Amino acid sequence: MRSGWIERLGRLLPEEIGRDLFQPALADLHYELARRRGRAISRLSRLRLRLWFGASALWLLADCVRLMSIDRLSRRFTAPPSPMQAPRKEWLTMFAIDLRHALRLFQREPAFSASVVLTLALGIGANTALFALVQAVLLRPLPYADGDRLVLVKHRDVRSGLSKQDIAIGDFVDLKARQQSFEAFAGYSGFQAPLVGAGEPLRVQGATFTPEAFGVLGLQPAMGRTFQAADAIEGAAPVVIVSYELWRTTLGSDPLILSRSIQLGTTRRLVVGVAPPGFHFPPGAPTDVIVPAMVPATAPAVRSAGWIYAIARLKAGVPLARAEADVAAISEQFEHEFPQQNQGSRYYAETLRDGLVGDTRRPLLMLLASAGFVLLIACVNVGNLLLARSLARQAEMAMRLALGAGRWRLVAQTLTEGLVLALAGGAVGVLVAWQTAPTLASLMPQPSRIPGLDRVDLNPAVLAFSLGASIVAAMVFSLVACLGLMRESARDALQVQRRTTMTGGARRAASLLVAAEIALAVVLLIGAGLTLRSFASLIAVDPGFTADGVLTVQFGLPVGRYTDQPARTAAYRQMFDTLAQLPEVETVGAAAVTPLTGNNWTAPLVRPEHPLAAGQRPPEVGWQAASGGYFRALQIPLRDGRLFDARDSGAAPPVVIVSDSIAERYFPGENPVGKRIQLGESTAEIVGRVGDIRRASLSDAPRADLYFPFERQNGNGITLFIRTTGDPLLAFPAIRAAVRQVEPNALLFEARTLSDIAAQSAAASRLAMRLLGGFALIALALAGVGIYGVMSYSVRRRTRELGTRLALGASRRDIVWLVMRQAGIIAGAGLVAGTVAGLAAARALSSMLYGVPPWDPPALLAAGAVLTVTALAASYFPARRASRVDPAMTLASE
Amino acid sequence: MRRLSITAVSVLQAIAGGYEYGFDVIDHTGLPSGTVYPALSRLERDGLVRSAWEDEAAAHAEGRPPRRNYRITAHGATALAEAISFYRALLPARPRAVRS
Repeated sequence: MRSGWIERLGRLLPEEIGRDLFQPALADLHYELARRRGRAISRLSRLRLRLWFGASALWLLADCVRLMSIDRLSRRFTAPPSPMQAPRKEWLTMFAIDLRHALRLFQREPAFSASVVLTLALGIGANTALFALVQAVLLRPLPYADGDRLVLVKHRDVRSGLSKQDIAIGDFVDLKARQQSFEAFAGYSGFQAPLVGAGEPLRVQGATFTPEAFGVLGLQPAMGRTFQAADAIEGAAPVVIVSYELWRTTLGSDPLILSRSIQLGTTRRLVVGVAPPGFHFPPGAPTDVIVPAMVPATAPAVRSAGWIYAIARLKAGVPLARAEADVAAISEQFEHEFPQQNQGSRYYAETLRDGLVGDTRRPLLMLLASAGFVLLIACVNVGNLLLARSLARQAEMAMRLALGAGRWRLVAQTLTEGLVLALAGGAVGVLVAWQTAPTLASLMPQPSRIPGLDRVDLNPAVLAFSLGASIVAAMVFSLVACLGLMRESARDALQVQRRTTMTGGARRAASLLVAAEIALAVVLLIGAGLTLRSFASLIAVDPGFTADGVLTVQFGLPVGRYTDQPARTAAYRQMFDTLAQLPEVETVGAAAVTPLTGNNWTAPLVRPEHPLAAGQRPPEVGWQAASGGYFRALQIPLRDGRLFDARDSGAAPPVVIVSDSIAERYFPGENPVGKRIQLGESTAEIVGRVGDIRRASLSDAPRADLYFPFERQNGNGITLFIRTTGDPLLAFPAIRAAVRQVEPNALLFEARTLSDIAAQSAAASRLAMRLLGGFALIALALAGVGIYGVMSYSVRRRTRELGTRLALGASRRDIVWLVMRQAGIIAGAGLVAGTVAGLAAARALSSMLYGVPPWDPPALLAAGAVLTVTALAASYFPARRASRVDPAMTLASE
Repeated sequence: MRRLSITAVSVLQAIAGGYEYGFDVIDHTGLPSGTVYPALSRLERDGLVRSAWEDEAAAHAEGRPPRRNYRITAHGATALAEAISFYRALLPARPRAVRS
């Protein structure tokens, strides 16, 4: 256990106490920890040991504080304070006395203290864990110099609403030349390539950077140099910058690395630099090698010949809004100048952080807010518990008041008690967060793509947050408990000291608080219901293909052996034939794009018989290169015509397959099969029509997709889609062996089932559902306890009245009804307030919901029903107790 | 020299009985750590006990920090005997019968 915090706290103690108590005791604690650690083998016993150490250390600190207060007191009585320091010392001494009193109370009622501490620990722990995530993702600086000035430039197709990061080279060159908001404007993209050397080829993650990218990112190499303009022109000698990690591992920390060259794919490149340790771009994704991106100095005639991503650094003092306006103005110029490429396409700028965090910001903040609700509910409950306990201590309080203690002294004492409880709850909460925060981070969708998620920890900022949360919690619930104190005069209190009753004001306050607690619980229940319904409709979505039983494998042909298309097509065909022979394999297919991984590549669609008017930009449809086996493996239905096969390879006339949406949208009332579409200068025949699929994600609307034959458009790297007869992952070894038989140097990696990919597509929804559901359950349980507590006190207070009613002939059922009606009024008020607040909160949730409106009646009704049942159950037991009051006993006691 | 308090006697007695380490003294006397450690410091300052750290190399070999052990000094043994006889003298000569 990292125990630096306790040493740091110890340094705040007076020297004498530190020397005589804290340091020797802590040394012994460390010794005990080390001794017991040897015996703690299981995870549970290690956790217990950590808890023991934390608790003992806190206890030691409390002991030190206790000693301090005794010290101060004895000094106060032996030496009068100097007049200058008197007020401060007085305050401190009073605080020390209160603290000692609070610690003693804490010890005297262990069950009460434990229940309060655990309730708070749950609330503070959930908040701390989520704050750790929020801090890591949204608040911590990006790992680049002045990272908040980094901006991505993207474009949105206003016709389809699709947002894209890849920019046509022509636009990139002109954007770079015309912009005035950025001090540097750079391009980058990513690639994977085999690093060929001694032994098995290694697949490395690469980035291409224009020379300006180093300035934009503020990257200084650990060795050597960055790229110069001369490295990035066609025909320049190929160079590469390797990552520090690759240099240390695969390249053996070679001190002469800068004079060596490495074989990357088909190209031999001279190493000119080594990146600094830990450098990644984009953050989170590994960057093993960086090669120069070749971008021409002026826009090419065919503007869309190639693409690149754009990143830029804002000029100092230029706000994002100005850059946005700048980019928008250039975008309008493009639309006028190049309507055929840019009509309806709008460029915009967003911060790098927003680009990386994407859709994660809203769910994170929403979950943090929900955790805040849980803490609020926990505070109300603890406040009510303290209020109830203060009844038992009414005599003590009354005596203090009568002896002349000011009301504010009592409030201060209650606050100090609250602080001790809250800090203990906070300490346990930090332990809860310490165990749960990394798990939470791993449950986030695509954790590797969100910067900071790999560095979620309980750093000083997070600990300060949980300390703050504890102090605020202490304030809230102590003030709740103080409500009972404020209205009593000493005389009243002394008079009632033999009865354990709340005053009318305190009782009303308690009921109001429980109603508020119920309202908060209803808000969370509605949220949980909505996310549950949304998740259910998301996983019930028919993606248009069957994911079960399909294995996807990334596959790469060895570099340099299959240089032309016919050689590659022949190799792939032989591979597919061999795989199809395996008993584990039903169908083999291949494609360029894996469905449900967010890909939104598009291609323009033009019919030769309906040529576009001058200055018109053609509509864009989804692009995919697939083999005939791909459709069979994924069971995408063939509606008409045929799938791709061996006829479509090589010199055969170009053909395409269209999806239902293309047929309906662009061939209304016609049969598209046999028709032609324009492809650049030539045309292609539509040979088949297949069903639509959800391409980018499950929540994506079915897309109009255009398929090109894989047989004509294949590269060295493809994705295999293999429908297996049994468990797909179990078939992988046999598949690998068969592939190696055909091509021993083939690269096979990232074997995943398509169902796993589909599940990942619903991960954000699943996480929101689980966490909100968990919070709602906690809230519900706490609200139930709250109702139970208030009704129990109410029944005890009304014992005499209920006894009289029974004596006068009321039936036991009447009494149960009487009590439950009171509970019903409280619950009803909470329910109404909660539903109104829940509807408002659901609107904030709406962008995260799929297939469910924020006012979804089943979710609202279910939240109401669950809460009503809980409230009835929680109030039934006090009501039953009330009905069993013995009238004779009650009346006799008067 | 001032007479030893009951607390100091308990702690000193425990050390004389072979409980040489802070946690053992706490276990044996049932006194809280906030009492035992300051008492040990005072006793050491008055020369009644002497503390020594374990051999660091031996502790390191067992993968734990070294332990601080306390021994009673000759001076301490005398003071303890005196204090015990003083407190014993305060007790009645014969224990009274205890009524249930």
